[in-house]
Amino acid sequence: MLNYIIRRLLLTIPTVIGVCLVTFLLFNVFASPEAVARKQLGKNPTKEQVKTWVTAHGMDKPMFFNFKPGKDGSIHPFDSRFWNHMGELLLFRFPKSDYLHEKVSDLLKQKIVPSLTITVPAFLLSLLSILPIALFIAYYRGTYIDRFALFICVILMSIVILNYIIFGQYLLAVVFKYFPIYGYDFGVGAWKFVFLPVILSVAAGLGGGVRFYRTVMLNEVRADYVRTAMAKGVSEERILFKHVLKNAMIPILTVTVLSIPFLITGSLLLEIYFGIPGMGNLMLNAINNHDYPVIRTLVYIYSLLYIGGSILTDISYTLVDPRVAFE
Amino acid sequence: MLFERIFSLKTKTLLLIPPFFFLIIFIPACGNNPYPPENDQLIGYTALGEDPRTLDPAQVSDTTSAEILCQFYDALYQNAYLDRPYRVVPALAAGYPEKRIFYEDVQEKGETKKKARMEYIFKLRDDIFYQDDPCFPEGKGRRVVANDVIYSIKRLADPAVQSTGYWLVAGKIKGIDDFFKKAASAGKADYSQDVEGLKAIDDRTLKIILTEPFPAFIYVMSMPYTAPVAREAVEYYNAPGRNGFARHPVGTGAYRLKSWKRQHRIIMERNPNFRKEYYPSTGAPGDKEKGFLNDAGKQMPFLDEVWYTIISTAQPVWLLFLQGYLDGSGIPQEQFDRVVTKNLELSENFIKKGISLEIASDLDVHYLAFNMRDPILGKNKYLRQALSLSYDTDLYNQIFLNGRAINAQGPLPPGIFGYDPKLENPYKTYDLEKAKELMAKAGYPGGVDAKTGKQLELIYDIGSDSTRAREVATFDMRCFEQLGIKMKLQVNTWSQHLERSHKGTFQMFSLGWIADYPDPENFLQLLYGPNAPPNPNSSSFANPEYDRLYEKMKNMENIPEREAVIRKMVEIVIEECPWIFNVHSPSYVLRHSWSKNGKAHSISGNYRKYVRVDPKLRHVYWKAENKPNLAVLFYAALLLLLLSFPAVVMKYRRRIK
Amino acid sequence: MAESHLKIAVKRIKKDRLAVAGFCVICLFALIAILDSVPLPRRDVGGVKWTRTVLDALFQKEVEKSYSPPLAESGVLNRKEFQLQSRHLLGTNNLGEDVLYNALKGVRTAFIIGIVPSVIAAFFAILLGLLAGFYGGWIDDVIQYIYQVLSSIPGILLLIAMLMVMERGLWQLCVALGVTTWVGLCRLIRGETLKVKNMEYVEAARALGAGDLRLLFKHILPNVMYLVIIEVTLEFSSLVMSETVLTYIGIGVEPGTGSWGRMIMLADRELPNAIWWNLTGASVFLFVLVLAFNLFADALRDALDPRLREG
Repeated sequence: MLNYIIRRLLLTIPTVIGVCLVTFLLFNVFASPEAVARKQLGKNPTKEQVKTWVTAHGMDKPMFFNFKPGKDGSIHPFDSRFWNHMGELLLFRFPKSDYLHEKVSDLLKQKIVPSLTITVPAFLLSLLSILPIALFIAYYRGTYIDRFALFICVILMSIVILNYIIFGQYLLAVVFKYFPIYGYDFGVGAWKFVFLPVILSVAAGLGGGVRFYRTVMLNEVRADYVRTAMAKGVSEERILFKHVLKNAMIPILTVTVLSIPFLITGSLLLEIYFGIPGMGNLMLNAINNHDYPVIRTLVYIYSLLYIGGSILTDISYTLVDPRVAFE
Repeated sequence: MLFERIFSLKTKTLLLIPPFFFLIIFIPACGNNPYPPENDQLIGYTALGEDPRTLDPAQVSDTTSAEILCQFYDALYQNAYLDRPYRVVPALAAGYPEKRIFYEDVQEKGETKKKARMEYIFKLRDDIFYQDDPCFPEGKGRRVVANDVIYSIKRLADPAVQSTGYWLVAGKIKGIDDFFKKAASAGKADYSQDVEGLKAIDDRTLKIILTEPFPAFIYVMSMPYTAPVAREAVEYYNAPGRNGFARHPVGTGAYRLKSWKRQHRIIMERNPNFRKEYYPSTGAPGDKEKGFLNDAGKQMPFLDEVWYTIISTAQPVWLLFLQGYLDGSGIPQEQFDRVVTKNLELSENFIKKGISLEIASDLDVHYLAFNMRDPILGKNKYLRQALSLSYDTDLYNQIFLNGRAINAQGPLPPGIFGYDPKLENPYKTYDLEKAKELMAKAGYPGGVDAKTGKQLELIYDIGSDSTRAREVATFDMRCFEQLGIKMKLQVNTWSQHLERSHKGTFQMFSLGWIADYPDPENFLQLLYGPNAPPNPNSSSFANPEYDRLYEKMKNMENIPEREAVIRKMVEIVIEECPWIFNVHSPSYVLRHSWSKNGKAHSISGNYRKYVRVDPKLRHVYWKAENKPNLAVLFYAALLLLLLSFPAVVMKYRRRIK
Repeated sequence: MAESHLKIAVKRIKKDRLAVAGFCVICLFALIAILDSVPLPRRDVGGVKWTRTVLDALFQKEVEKSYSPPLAESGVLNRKEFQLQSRHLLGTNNLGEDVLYNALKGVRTAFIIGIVPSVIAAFFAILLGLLAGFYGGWIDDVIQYIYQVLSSIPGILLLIAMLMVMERGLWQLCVALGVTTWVGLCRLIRGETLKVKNMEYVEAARALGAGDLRLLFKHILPNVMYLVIIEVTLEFSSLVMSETVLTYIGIGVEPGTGSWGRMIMLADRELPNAIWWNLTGASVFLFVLVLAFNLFADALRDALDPRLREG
């Protein structure tokens, strides 16, 4: 098992390097340092200020190899934009945000928890609601209830998440006044602010989720062993809850485990709409403010999370289904 | 058999019930109050649009940062809170400065000329201290001295500080340009180097020598750029391993920074080292009736804490204000009709809630700048005048500003010396006939180039892709298209916009200017030839006569002669038409009944200390406005129960089968 | 061989009444989109030359001063009533533009966003998927590496980076969306190619002397096409909905192009004012189109799925 994990991790190293390369191309080849500096310096910066900014951020260094002697007189061929970029990311020496002037690692520490307070409950609540409903519908398959429920699911899926958020907030917070309309509180007080985004997040995912899991369950239900069990007189509930659920775990796991690392990254829309100071909010503000250090660090981290997620998924497969062997 | 039936039902429903049950129990307990209990503290709740970029006085150039920074740092002078028109009164200074003009012999091109210099002597109070902070020995804030002011001004010239305020003193203080040049070539400033025009005669006396008479200089000493900062604080927080002086203000104001969570909230608390300052006893006409003098003579600040919640979208601000969770708010454009009556008074239902309306005349001007370097527009006065006549400011006002703005006739707003309420700009009426005549005169009859027969095409630049910018652009372009020309929209990011403006590759874009300080020079410099981009004269307007008059006006006190010079300058601008003047915008501010002394201002300043809050009134309002609607929950639960009925029935039917 | 499958698929779809209804709705919307793409010769209207499409000719109404509710006779601006120049079925927005007209203008954008990125993605996916599956070896490794790297970068960030480089615009958005979403389909095609290339009829064709290209395009490609068709139709809904979300957070199409996302974004602040028609108009149009596509795409997928072919 450990061997497998180590091997998988080693195999991801070229991918990670590839990701860093792509981000380097995107952020250095296509954006001129002067334009970036001007954006960050506010009102009417002078030429000298722009120059100082560019030098301070190391953006006037050559692209790939640096053969000019540095301040101490010696030549550092790897003191170039490319190698500095790679080193910064791969060695986890994250830079400072251009716009907020704080170390990105500090910002991350501040913002992971608020994101988690929304995504983790939403994730758990989603599972707890969708799985039983899907099983329930699978139980009534073929009947009017099944078709009705399916139709409702397609309708729910066709409503764009924005509508859920806008109408949801309007109805529940503004008109009925159940929840605060906006904002957050750190520590214990966060629970008040978590309800509405979580409820809306679950509601928006309900349609698609129920449909997906219903299909998965039904695929299992059509299998031979179910027919045998029913012929033997095992109750339907027992079949559904024990056997079908277990065998449907692989596709279920693919989706759920893969999304676990992304719980950290937070939901962009929800955070912006409800003012949760989390990772999604950080990302969007970085984009609007052209805060490149934050953006490239976030891209790097998200990629790591995705890779981590896929490794986790593979491992969980083997834990659930002994037939899936390590390759 | 029976047992199994019940057991299986349980397993199913048990899984479904907890989430919904959980919700239904907790919803009423929630309530929509976003704040923790106040515990007898006097707290002001307000909103901010985004995180401040910096809290270093030398770097602050945007209103958001200024709003926060001004509560922490006081300068020698401050804007009088209640008096109108705006004037400055002493803050850290003791009284007003002594001024004297003297003459100096200067060698210029082999000749000896007599140059007029101006000398200011400022005296500081003796009870001004910095807030307590670990950067001082034993953490106790020390007394503010004249050298601190000199240090602050030198910082503006230090390239390592990346200050946005050097323009304020450049060329004005004797010797500062030398200091700046040496600092620029070294990459950082040498603070031990003396500046001839900045002398600390003793700890409490500061002498400043200006290169030319500049009466408005006292305004310069009221801006945050010249607020004294402690060198210890700068060096302590800029040391490696610490977060930078820009994040750790150490100031002299009524408040100090308590906590700052990015993209969430800034909390400021009372500064115990604040000097004894008392609420003013006199104000502008009408202040007494509004209750602004009720706290006259009392010591400030009144609030223990001020909470700025960072809200980036406009809608939550309004909703939170209506719910009572923000003490004050502007009026969003869509709400204007409901809030304000035809006579620009507050409407009934708002008055019933105890909300009051404050209207402040902003010291600003909004205009459409033509690029005078553009080959088509720059040389064609008639074309510019025609475009000005085809622009319908009144309609713009109706659509975008609810008719509350003032139709700008010239560059100066009301409230500034030199503003003429009777000024009539002949090119500012909406007159399509005259406009079309001028188009013909300009060589473009009906919008078509008389020489080439091609339709005239003009490009309209905007500096952001916001909806508002787009809507305004659409409106503007429609006005001009009435002349038969074709308008093309060019959307830029802000940095592209700046580049195009610096290079002079745009034709027209809309701009606004808010006064840095209440002197006409601050507006008229926008049209001064040498101030071409990257300085604020975005249209690169350069008229020798105007420039000559500007240099004359700049050095005059507010006497009738100055007014005459200004009038002549405005006449030149009107005729040459480098701008289409649009509006001066007044700001409408709503306040709840419990927020006292909240007079509206258009220049940033240290105004929080004047505000007082009555928590009882606030809590009464909160309770009345925010009762959760529980009846709906009851009906919803009922509905759910009904819906599950057919499922249960069907299940039993199946069983029987 | 693919044609008879198609006939069977069509028959199957016809049985599902909801899917047929969905298909009709799609055709109706497509008609609107086509009407919006046919330009009329430039006409002189009040001294100004406009570019108009057939849709404009049919539905464009005079611009009023400001808001008005659906089917109203007058609107209110700054507490003053003003008479409307014509009847607006869905009312007018804050600039006085007819809401129904704006919603109809969004149909073309929706169709373009819903289809073009998929087509672009399909192009890359087919090319690379076929090559990777067919040739295997180092080509396969390189292509797999490429799409592993690309799929590790979060889509939205890649999208934004690309849009920062290119100008904002509908077609640029399509290209960016296409380039960021081809990976999933590529994986599927590669998998299917691996399966198909070892089938008997392919071996037979090879034995008869068919070259690589011929094999790829005449024999293998038709058999993986069903994946492409399913994917393109399935992706439509999520692409259209994602345009809405992207516009809301500020990254979508440029204003001036019809966009339901933009209408929803503006309508956000109108709701507390009891101005509901702008938001509802855009949302309903979006909902109906997405629902229709969902119903149709489901039936199409069930019809084309080879596992159900035998049943």
